[in-house]
Amino acid sequence: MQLNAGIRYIGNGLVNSIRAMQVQSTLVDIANDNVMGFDKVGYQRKQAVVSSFTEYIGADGVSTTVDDKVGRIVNTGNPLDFALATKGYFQVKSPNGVKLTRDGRFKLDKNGNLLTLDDSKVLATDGTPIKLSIIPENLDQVVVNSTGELSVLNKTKNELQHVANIGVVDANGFVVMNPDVKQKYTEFSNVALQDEFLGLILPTKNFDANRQMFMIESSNLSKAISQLGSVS
Amino acid sequence: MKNLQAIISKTIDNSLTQFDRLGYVGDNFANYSTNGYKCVRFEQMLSEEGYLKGAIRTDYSQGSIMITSNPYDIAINGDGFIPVTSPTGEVQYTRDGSLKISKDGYLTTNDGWLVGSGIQIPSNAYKITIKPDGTVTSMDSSKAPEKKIGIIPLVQFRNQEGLKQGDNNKLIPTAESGEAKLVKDHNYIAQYSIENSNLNVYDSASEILRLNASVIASMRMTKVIDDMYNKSINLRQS
Repeated sequence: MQLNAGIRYIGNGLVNSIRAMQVQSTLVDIANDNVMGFDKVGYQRKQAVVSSFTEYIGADGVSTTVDDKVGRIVNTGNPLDFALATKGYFQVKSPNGVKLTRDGRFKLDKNGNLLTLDDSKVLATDGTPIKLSIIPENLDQVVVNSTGELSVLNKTKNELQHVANIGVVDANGFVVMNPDVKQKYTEFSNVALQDEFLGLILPTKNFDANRQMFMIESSNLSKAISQLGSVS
Repeated sequence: MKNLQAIISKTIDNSLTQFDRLGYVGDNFANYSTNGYKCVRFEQMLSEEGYLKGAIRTDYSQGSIMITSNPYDIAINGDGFIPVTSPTGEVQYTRDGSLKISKDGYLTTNDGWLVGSGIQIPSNAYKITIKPDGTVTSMDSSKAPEKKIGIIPLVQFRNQEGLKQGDNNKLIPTAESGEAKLVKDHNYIAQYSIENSNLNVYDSASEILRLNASVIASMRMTKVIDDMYNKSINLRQS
């Protein structure tokens, strides 16, 4: 009976160690996503959230939240590169529905539609796709002010003609009143590489520790199996 | 939970994409002294699922203009392209204005494509002048009146980013770029000038630094994951 109880205890220990190792590798996966997103435009750092009971339910207990700090804003010189200097997202209409993105690298097609790099339509505050009424001869004739109002130069009248207000919403879908759009800038991620690599130390060491525990438990268990029952 | 192989394939995906990007930056550097060259930019897009996509964008901003002493050097100071016709009759577009005279007296590009539909320069021309609107005039002697002998056409596209890069600094129209539209009243053409490439060396250098950091970081992650992988496989050793 004691043997039975002992084995069950050790068995739980083995499963716990494996589970903990899986949790740690999930944390490394999240850190890897951040490293990959480091020099990508509009990427927002993922922050791992390890809930209570993760020691019982394993990697399913790990979820992520988005770190919505504004990233590094860099000058590009392209009049169709926009960056948001506040928290918020551009709304784009892709074949899979409306998506939110902080990637403000846009382009114009020959009909004057404002598109993202993967051909999704950029939406205005009223939810309609933005289409320029005048095809600009030069992209410098497209002007966006900090409130997101997009206008284009009317050459015959020699004045700026209002086109639309670029729709910027927060994570809950509410319109951001003063989005602080920066023209000719893009926003790189808010990932700091050194933080990611420093943050890796904990999961890897935890992984190693649980692996050691597993091996100790495993050898204890084999000792119990081979020696406890022997009569010699 | 992600398995360790999925993490490794992401690090490899990222590293390989950075090498692609290095290739495009290298392309731009190689064309630093190509007349009228427009830089290409390799833009990466990280999808929500975690894989990378790339897009190539051409930066059509104006390059700096360099003064030369050759009357057949022209630069476009503004938007537009010069249509050129190949010996086989194909029409493509260029911003490279380092022209020369062919053996028949026609104004051609460096690789022998006719400018427009052909402008013949008289062999006894004393002075050739190219006006800002592209009109080519010649004078038989210093006192003779100017004679108009042709016009260098200038065209624009509704969406010049849709143009496809051809051979020898030429561009080919596509369905996305729209049709070429002749510009009539302009003052974009400058004689005795050449347009340099619009490469910004400092931006490119900073891009190389960024992609280098990304490769190193991803390679380092590969090592970390590889260690974990090894340790998971050799769990039974004790």
